[in-house]
Amino acid sequence: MTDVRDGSATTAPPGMEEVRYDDKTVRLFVLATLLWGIVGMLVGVVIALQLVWPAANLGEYLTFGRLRPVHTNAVIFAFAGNAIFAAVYYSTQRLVKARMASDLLSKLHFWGWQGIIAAAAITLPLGMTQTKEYAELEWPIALAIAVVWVIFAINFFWTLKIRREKHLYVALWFYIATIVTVAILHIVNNLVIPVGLFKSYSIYAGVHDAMIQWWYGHNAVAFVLTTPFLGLMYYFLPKAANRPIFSYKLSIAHFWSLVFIYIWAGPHHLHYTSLPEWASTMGMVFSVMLWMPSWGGMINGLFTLRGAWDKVRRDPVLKFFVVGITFYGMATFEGPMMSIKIVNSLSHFTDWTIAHVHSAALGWNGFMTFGMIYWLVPRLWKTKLWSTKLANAHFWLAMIGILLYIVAMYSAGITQGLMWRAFDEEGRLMYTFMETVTAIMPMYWVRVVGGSIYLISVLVAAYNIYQTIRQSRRENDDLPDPVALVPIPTWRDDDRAEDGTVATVEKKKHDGGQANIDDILFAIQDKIKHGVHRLLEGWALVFTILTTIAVLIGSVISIVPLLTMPGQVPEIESVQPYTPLELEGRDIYIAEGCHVCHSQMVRPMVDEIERYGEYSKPGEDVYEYPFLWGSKRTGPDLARVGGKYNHEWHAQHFLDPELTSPGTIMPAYPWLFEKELDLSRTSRKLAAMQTLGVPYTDEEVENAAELAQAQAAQVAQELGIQNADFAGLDNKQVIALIAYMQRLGIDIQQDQGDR
Amino acid sequence: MSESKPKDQGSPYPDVVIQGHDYDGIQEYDNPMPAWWLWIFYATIAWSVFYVAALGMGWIDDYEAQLERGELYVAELRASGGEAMAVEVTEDYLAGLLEDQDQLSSGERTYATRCASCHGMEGEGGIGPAFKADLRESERTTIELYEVVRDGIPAGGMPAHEPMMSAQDMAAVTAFIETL
Repeated sequence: MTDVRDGSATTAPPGMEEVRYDDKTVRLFVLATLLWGIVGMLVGVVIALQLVWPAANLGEYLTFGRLRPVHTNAVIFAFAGNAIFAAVYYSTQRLVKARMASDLLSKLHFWGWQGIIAAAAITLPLGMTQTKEYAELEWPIALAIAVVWVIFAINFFWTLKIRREKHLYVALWFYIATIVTVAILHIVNNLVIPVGLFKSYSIYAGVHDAMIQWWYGHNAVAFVLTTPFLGLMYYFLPKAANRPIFSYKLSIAHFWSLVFIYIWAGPHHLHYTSLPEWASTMGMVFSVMLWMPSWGGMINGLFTLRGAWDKVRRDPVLKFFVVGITFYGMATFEGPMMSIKIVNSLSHFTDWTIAHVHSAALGWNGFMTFGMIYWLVPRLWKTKLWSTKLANAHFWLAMIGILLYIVAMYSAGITQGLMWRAFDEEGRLMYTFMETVTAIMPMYWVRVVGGSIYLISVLVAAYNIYQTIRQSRRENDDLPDPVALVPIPTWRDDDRAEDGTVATVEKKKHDGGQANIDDILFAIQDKIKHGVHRLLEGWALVFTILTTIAVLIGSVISIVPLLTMPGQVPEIESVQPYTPLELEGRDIYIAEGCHVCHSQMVRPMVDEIERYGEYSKPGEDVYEYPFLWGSKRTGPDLARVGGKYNHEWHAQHFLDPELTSPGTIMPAYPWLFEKELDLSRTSRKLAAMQTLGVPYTDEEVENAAELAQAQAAQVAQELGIQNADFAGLDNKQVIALIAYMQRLGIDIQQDQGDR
Repeated sequence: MSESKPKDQGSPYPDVVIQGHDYDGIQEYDNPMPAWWLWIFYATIAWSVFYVAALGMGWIDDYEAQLERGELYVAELRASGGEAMAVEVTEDYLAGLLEDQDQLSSGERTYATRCASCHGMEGEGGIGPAFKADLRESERTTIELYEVVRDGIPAGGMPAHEPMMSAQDMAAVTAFIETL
């Protein structure tokens, strides 16, 4: 092992030099991980509570629809994100024996990222959202993410460039895949037309938008929550266990198969939707093929611990890692299983998905993060962990929390899924939607309890870390950058001289002579004597390019044909663009986060057709910028709600959902009746749509506000006739939302469906 | 860190450390990939090829075929629904239900899940008209009321229930409403 010592300059012996690692940035990322972890999980507990107790929706800015994205973004990008950065900054420096290339870039990265998180925490409750899951942040913030990510990439690759270790270790392969792929995914999925500082429309519509979004969404799971955590595992697990990695060959095989296959799997989020079935099939088979590549990481993790199991019993770090990796194994078996269409037909839109993601997020990401933190903190702050007992308490509490959470959600998901599709002996749907909601409320309570226990366990961890840092303050005056003595690399200049045959070729060339074929063959043989892959590991740039190609192949093949080939989205003539008022109503629907709980996608299944009406057709969504199919049916599907109830029912339902739907868990939206409908941007919105290809005439664009007003007056009048209590709401938001509701799914008549 | 200690020859994993692989003290073994891992991986690839081919050949149901099967299943249920479906709802039949406590309580359950949201838990009215005897405005006969339940009044926002409920259930709920 390299010699690491503290503090001030020493004189390095010949052939060695000093490297000062930047641990300050790592410390910051660790603290941010803890802080945002607590915030994200607290919001998680709040929204879990809102689902059993609607009164916990505290006004306009704190409804479930607005807070749920705060929870997902905080946990994925703030908690896991900062954990990843801590792992990357700590391990990369040591794996390549070089300080991060630029302290300035490190600083910009850290503070830029925290700024983005803060901006997300403010804008999401304000209803500023692009709607697409894990890509909700509006365009200025999305742009900032791209900039900060590029800063991170430059800092990372520049560090690789100045590395002293010739070969890249497997952890770095996974970091490379993460950095490259997240950049591609983020940019492609965030292409929007802005219509204001915090409002934009996706440039893709309907089926196309759905495909791009879930290519992104699934691979956010892959390249934010899987690959960087595998990198983390490959560094911190062998360090903590003090054992060699089980199999280098397996590392190679599972790395390349994982990055190549993962990217194809997105469409399994869209089974039985209007996405053409061939795309869905591709997503399914690649998900199934992904099982073993994912398990390669689990095997390499668990088998590395052979011979170290006694340590696992004693060391909380390894405990967290073992359970984390086990959850990874479970989730990556379950994922392929859920991607099988027939399984997905039951699990989709239910809490089964919620169970799946939480076993992965709380189990794999959470436990790997905390294992890393317990290993890192004593080293970063140069002291011992304050309390191993508390760390163990954290472990067991978190474990109980996860188990309660996921058992509750599995049973809620499967129960509700089965109830939705149940027919009685006379061939009628057995349950109303409300009955399926009421049935799972006890499980929702268990979730609140499980989630709270997990949150408490994290608070215990935070207290332990806080005390550890206080202890460090008492013991250390300051925390200077650790200094490592590392050999001065010679491979850059003269690694060729090391292997004789290459030198022969070079020398002959240099001497003006001709290298004969034998010399060249020997030279090649010599180069690859440790395998072609070993060669690649010495070429960071080539390695990065090959990784990029690996992820681009699946991306291009699954996306480009769908977007460009004719016949993928058969046109339906009767489908017309929204009126200006309906479009405004749709934007209110988006801002309130209605899509978070209500799907707009009737699947081609007999129970859904019975319950909601004709199944959704791809051609119905050609003007849906962005698509609003949803991924969870906490409330019933709305794709065909137009005309199903009268205006008054909707008004009543928004004002007090309990009145129209006893037992509902939907919050009330009284502010829709008070807030003015803002038509100042309607014209711009139509113009943006026109640019995207929606056939609005220039007159419609120009007179958008007037057209909206006229329709609002009409809807308000109809509503006033139905119930005088609701008279005179002409210029209130609720009118636009009702207009939108009444438009949903009525463009095709049942008998015109292109079955 | 840990030294390589070649194991017994029989083990598939000899645990030989690869020379020259040392990253911040982390070493790597030259172990082969587990055979079972490799074989399951190959099997999933083979299965995927098979699945795509079988779907293409129609050996596995595509969405449309699955839907047809589902519709057939429901149609068969309905066809064999027996008495309940065969019920012919007449004025007399409804009058009979008014005396049938089982049917009335079945109607009450249906009312709570399907009607109460608009007509009030006690039939006191809301979005829809009231049913309570003292508040009731319409003078529909029982059979007329049944027809409203069945066919709805689209203009007034009352949906048709025939697609969602059996004749018997609609009759039972009609009878229950008459008792309010």
